Amino acid sequence: MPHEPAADSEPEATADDDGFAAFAVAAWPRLVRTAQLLTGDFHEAEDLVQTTLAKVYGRWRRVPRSEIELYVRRALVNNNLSRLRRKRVALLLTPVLPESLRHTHAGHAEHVEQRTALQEALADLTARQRAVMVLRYWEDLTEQEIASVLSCSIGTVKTHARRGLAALRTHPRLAAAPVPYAPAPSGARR
Amino acid sequence: MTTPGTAPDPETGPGSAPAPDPDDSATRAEVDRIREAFAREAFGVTPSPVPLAAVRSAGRSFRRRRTATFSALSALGAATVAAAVVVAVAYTDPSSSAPAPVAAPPATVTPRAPSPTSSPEPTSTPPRTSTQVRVVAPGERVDAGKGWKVWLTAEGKHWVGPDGLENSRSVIDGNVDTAEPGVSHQSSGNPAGAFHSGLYYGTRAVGGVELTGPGGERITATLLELPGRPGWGVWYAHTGATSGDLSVAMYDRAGKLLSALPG
Repeated sequence: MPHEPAADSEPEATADDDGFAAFAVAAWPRLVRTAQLLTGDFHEAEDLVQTTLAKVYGRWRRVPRSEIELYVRRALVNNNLSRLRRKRVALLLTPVLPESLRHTHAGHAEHVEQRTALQEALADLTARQRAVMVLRYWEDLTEQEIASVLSCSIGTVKTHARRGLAALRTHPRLAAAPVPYAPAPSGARR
Repeated sequence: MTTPGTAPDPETGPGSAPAPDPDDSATRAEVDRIREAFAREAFGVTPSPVPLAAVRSAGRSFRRRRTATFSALSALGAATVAAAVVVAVAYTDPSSSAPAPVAAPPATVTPRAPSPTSSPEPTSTPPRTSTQVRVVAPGERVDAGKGWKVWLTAEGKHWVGPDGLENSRSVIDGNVDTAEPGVSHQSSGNPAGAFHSGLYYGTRAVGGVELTGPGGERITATLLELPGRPGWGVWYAHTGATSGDLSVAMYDRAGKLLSALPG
């Protein structure tokens, strides 16, 4: 996935930052988008990423720089699973239409319909199936990479992916949603 | 921690067999359609500017809490070891006429130094000994301590706290995939401490369930099962004040990690 600039932020460098501000500014947009897919709610997504980055900042000096991408993805997914455990999946049981003011395509009825259909389909998955789906079809990770993020075996990833994919393919609203002609979006490629 | 590519647990049943590539049964067009739906959803939101000051502030607080928790648990661990040595000496004294020691409390805390490359994943260090599984009759209410009671039925796990409110988690409603090893986690408590419990399932060879706190402290859970080795059971443990999320890991009797819920 490409890193996106976040021009509005002001990376106020401090002595113990050691590159954290630059990392956070670059990673924030893509992390929020991933969290949006994991949570289905824009505010939950931003809260989740903020919590994740805070924990990463707390351990920043001990995180190997060569593993930072894996570390942050793993932290994001794990924090989401913890959030769901605390809330007992109540939030995911109710599909939420994200705040329209923040939509770049707000007002486009067909587009909103498709996005709602996806959120409904994702809400029917287990948290781990959903994470595997997001990591595979949005983050475009390999099964090996997903297994590393989720700290599980490749067989478990395959099982989650198979069941998650089958659920998405057969979900009545997602299957019925019209697919407009559009080139493959670059955000799904690393 | 289970490493990617780990061989499936031979006792987990047919669900542990290697699954086919999930894309095999889907057409390329269907996969592309799903990828596009994900990208459309992801790019449908416009993230706010990164709240860097708030992130830094929360990160410093997180670091301070973690350090304070680890220091407190280190002191507690040292005191526990010292007490254990004193007790061991007393019980091995041949002149002692003291009665046999009472059973250890269900939860034990083992402090452990954090790894220099610590990550959010749970530890792969196995418990030192397997936990004895207590077999209980259906509906038998087990006193879990501090006002909590736990019982099992064929439907699943039931528990009630000091407030008298009953809860349950089903193993037959389809939300739990008993074909593969797994654990669930529910907790309830206050700043002074919490009661943790959950289901474990997908194995008939459970050796222990262990909680790991943000400072690396480890708590061994008590295990309950119904007669007949049904392939699932219930774990529970008490913890003191914690400042972060706990990870939960299930091991087999050989100490191999079967499943984990990261903290």
